[in-house]
Amino acid sequence: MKSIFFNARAGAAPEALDALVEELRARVGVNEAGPLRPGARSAAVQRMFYATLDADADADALVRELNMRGEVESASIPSERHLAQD
Amino acid sequence: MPTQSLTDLPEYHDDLLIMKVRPDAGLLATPGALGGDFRESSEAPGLSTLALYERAGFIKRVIPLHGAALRAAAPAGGALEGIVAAAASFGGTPAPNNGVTMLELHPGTNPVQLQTALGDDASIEYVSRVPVRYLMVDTTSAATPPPADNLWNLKKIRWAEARAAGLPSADGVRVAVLDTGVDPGHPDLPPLRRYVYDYGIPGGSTSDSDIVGHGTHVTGTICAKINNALGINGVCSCSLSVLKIFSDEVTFIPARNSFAFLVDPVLYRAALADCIEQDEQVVNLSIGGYGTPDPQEKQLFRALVENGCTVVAAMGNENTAKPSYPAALPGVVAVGATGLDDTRASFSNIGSHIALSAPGVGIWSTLPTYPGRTGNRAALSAAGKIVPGAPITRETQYDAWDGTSMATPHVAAAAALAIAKHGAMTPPNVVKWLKNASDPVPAMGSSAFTVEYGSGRLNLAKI
Repeated sequence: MKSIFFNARAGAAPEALDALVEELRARVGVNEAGPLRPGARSAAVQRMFYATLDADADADALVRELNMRGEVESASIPSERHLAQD
Repeated sequence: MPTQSLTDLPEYHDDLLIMKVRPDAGLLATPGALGGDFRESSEAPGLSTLALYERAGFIKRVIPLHGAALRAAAPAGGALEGIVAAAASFGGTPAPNNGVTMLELHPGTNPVQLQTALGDDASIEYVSRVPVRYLMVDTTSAATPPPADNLWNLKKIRWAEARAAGLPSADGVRVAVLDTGVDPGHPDLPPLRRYVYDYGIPGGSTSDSDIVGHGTHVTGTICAKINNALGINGVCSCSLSVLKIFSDEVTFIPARNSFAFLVDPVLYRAALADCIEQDEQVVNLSIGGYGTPDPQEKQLFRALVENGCTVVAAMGNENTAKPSYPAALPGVVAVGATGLDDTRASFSNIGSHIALSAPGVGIWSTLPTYPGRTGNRAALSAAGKIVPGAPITRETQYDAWDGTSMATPHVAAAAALAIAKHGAMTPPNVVKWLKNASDPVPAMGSSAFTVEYGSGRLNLAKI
C-alpha cells in the first residue's frame, strides 16, 4: 500500500476540504482519505491530511493533481523512515 | 496483550499427508483385483477419493519415502502410480519406510477429508497429517544482563553518582516513545501512561505486539524499574507513553537482500500529531532515513517543538555525513553513539547537526517476553518471486543491542530529568542543559564541539 500526505492552505474553507476528501475517497485506487487527526486543537494539525492508495495506483499523478488545487498548500509522497539499530 | 507465542504456531502442515499402504493390499500384484482399475473401485474408496482429488488438481505432488524410490527417480505418472510404486517397495530390502508416501496438496485444499477417506481404505495401513517441528531454542531462557549496578552505559553517564547527589525523579514529566511498540507485560517495565496503536483513523491502526522488540528495548533504557532486583535499571522514572508507528508487515530491502519492518507513514504522522495534542514534553525517535522530509513532516516537527516538546532522535548508523531525518530537522536533538572507550561507535553518523553523544554499543535492555523477529531473510517462491523466508529471530526478556537507536533514549531520559530538576522550559533551553551535561571525550582534543561527538558524551552528574 502507498500513502500520500497533503496540507491544506491556511484559510481554506472547511466545506471545500470536506468535498476534496470525499472526492478522493471516491477515486479508483484510493483506499482511505481524511484528516490526520480529526478534531485536532492544534491549528497546524487541523490542516494535515492523508490518503492511502493501492500498491499499483499512480501516487505521483495524484500528488501533482493535488498540488494544483487551490485549497492545497502542498502534497507529497513520504520519504522512508526505518529503525536506527545497527 | 501480546499476540505472539509458541502456542500460536501451527501443529500440522496444512498441505501434507503421510500414508503407508499395506504390504498385503495387492496393489502391485493384482491391480485388476480391485475391479480392473482401482480409480473407480468401491473396494478401495480411499484410493478412489485420491484419484478424484488428483483429477480436480488438488494434489501437488507425491513424495516417495521408501528406500527403493529414494535410490531411483521418482515414479512417473500421477498419485496412484506413486502409491503403486510404494507398494512395490515391499518387494525389495525390508525397511521401515517401505510403502510410505507423502502427499503434498495444493494450498487451500482441505487435507482432513482426504485423510478420512484414505483412513477408511483397507489397503492403507495408516494415513496421518504431518506435525510441524521447530528448532528447540529455549525462548524462555533469555540472555542474562550483567548486574544492574554494573551496566557500563549507566556507569559511563554517571547515573549512580547523579542520583546520589540528589537528581530528582522525572515521574511528572511526560515522555513518549514512537517505535515498534512495547511489551507492557514485561516485569521490569513500569505501568505505562498510554500505549497507542490505534489512532482512530481509517488505515491508522496496527496490532499491539512488539514483534521487533526495538520499542521495548528503547523503553527499558529510558525507564526500566530501578533497583527492583530484576534485570536492568532505566535512566529515569517518568510518565511514559509508547506509540507504535510500525505495521506488522515486512518490506523487501534490496540492498540487504532481506525483509525489514519499516515505519508506517500514516501511523508515524498520526503519532506525531497525537504527541502535539497530548502535550508530550519529550519524544524519543530512534528512527531515521535519508529521504528529504516533505512539508507535512517538517511542519509536524515544527509544531511539536513550538508546543514545548523536546524531540530527541538518532543520528543514524551508516557511518556517513549524509543527514538522516528526523535527526537533522531544526530543533531536534540529534544523538550519536559511543562505545566503552568513549570513542565514536564505528557505525555512528557524523554531521554539524549532532547535539551530543551517549552510549550505544552493547546496551543491555528489555525485550518482549514473547518471541519475535527483526525481519525475514529473502526466499524465492515457486513462481520465482522474492518472498519473506526464514525469520531473523531475536532474544526474549533482555539482550544487548547496538545503534544510535540505543544511544538516543539515554538522552531522552536525560531531557526528562533536566525538566524535572530545573522545571518546565522551552525545548531550546532543554538542549542547552543537555549540551552542558556532557563531557568532551579525548578524541575531541580541545574542541568544545565536533561533528563526530557534538558537545561530548552525556554526563548526568552535570544536569
